[in-house]
Amino acid sequence: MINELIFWAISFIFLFFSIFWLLVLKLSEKEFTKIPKIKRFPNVTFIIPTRNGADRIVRTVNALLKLDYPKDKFDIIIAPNNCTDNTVEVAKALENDQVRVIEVRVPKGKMGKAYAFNQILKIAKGEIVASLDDDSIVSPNALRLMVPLFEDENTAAVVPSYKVYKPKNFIERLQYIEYLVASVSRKLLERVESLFILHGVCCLYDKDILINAGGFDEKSITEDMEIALRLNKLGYDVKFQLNCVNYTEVPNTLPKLHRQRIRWTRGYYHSLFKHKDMLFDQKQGFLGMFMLPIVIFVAAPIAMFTTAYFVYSGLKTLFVKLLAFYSAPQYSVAKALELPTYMSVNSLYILLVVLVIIALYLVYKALFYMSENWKYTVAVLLFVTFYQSFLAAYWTMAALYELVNARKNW
Amino acid sequence: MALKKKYLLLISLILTIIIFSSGIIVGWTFEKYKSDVIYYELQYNELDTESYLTEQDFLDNFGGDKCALLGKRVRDIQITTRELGYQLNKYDNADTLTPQDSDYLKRKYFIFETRFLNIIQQLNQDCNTSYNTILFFYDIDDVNSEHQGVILDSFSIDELYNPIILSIDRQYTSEPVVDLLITHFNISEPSIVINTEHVFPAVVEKEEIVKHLN
Repeated sequence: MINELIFWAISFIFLFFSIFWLLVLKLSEKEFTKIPKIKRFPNVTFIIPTRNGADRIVRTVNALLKLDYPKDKFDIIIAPNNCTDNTVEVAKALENDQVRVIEVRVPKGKMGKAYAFNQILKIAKGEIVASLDDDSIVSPNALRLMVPLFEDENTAAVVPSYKVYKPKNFIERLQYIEYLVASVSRKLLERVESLFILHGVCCLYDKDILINAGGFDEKSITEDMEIALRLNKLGYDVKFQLNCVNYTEVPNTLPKLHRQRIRWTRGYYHSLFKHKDMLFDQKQGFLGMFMLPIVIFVAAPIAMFTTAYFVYSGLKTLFVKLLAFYSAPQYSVAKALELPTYMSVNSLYILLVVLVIIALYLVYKALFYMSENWKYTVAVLLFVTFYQSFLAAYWTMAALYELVNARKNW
Repeated sequence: MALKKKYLLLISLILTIIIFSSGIIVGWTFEKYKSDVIYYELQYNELDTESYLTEQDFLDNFGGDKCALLGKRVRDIQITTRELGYQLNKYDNADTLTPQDSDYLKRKYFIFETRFLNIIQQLNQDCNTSYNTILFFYDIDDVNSEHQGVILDSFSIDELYNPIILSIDRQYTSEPVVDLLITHFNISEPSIVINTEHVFPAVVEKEEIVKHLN
């Protein structure tokens, strides 16, 4: 009975947020298609920290050199840090009037990307600086679409949407759908003035604001999320340019995906804890009074509870089914192939079906706004069902990793 | 244009309550329909049993071959009993019935099963038939009970053996009939009773069960 009540409560919360975001989406559709006009061309410096990125950096730089922006108004600085392969040599071969290579030695205890970026930030010429992962592929119209958003003097950062670059296997296709939905979701967050998640696929920053804010946190494992919270806390705006689409590579195996998600989720914990004073602070507006508390006190506990419950009941069911198969294999197979009857359906199932339909609609809208045709149907179906549970499990796993680390530090 | 977030939250909450309530009402109506189906099936089977007992009394008073007449009824009741037990078990696991409805249906079902068991015993004694019965005393949410349940369910597709399987919730001692059965067979854990003679604690594999069948 208690289990059922908890699931009803969770379903109510999911339904509430699904409806809320659908409403935000509906009211924001005109904003999605607004293309800003660029009025001036400020100097932009692209900073590309890279560690052993010899196989990626050439493609990234070549994409930047194709930018539809005055050539004398942007420069590129590649910052190889602690490389053990031929990245420095490959980067130096790209040097020209627009491209420089500045090696950075990252001391122990500092995060390579954040430290390298901060060192280059001090000497960057641009009025605007861009943070780029070494596997990013920037669209030619990126600056024309993103720079105009800095017309508002309170804008500290502009984030583009991003897609997976040429997904090859099923894991990449799942993430392809995920990144499309994430891009639209972040636009919706921006619409309620609560965008607190950035990424490293060419985010632009107002250089002076970033320097005054202290640059990236060199101890953070997700410096982009931490800086987003910090800029919000300082009262600046973080904008999202949905129409600017850049590309990135993603983990193509489960172990790599696992490592990435553990890092991201632990980074969320660190960043949220670091800026916990934003919680319920009226000065932080909707972000501090609603979004962050929801993430910490509702979303994370729900994710942990449902993970624990499904792992427990899933393992128990699997155990019973294995025993059953051992005892009565023919019957077990026949039973497994039976279709559910109307007797199996109850209110909770109906509600879950409603939530899946809403999720499918959101995916459809994300594909639409990201100028994609319907594709990867199996990946979409898995994305709205099991993949969410898979991602939810990382809240628990990351928390466990944190606990283990804490013990090691005693 | 900035969105008015407070209004959005309020409208979302109102819409959620409306949709949620509608879902609950639809679900409740559906659950009522399903419990009515089970209730109807139980009543129908009760009627069948009453009809059988009445025929038996008639044949006892006025003479006739009750064994031939009543034999065919057994299989029909057996199939329905299995289906009803399966549905009630699903409800138990899903917690979809109200406690009162669940209690009422379960009591009716266990009483019905016990009457059926009495009928089979009588048939075996009076008519020299050899119907096999397996009384299955299960616990809810118990791995051994679930495992045993699957083994017993597998007899439903067995062409050679077709025992009459009667499932009793061992912990449902608020029903005196259940308590009587537990005491009579001295059940202290999930168990099966084959042909009212052989008592085995769960789990008993199919090969072992078959050894004790007629």
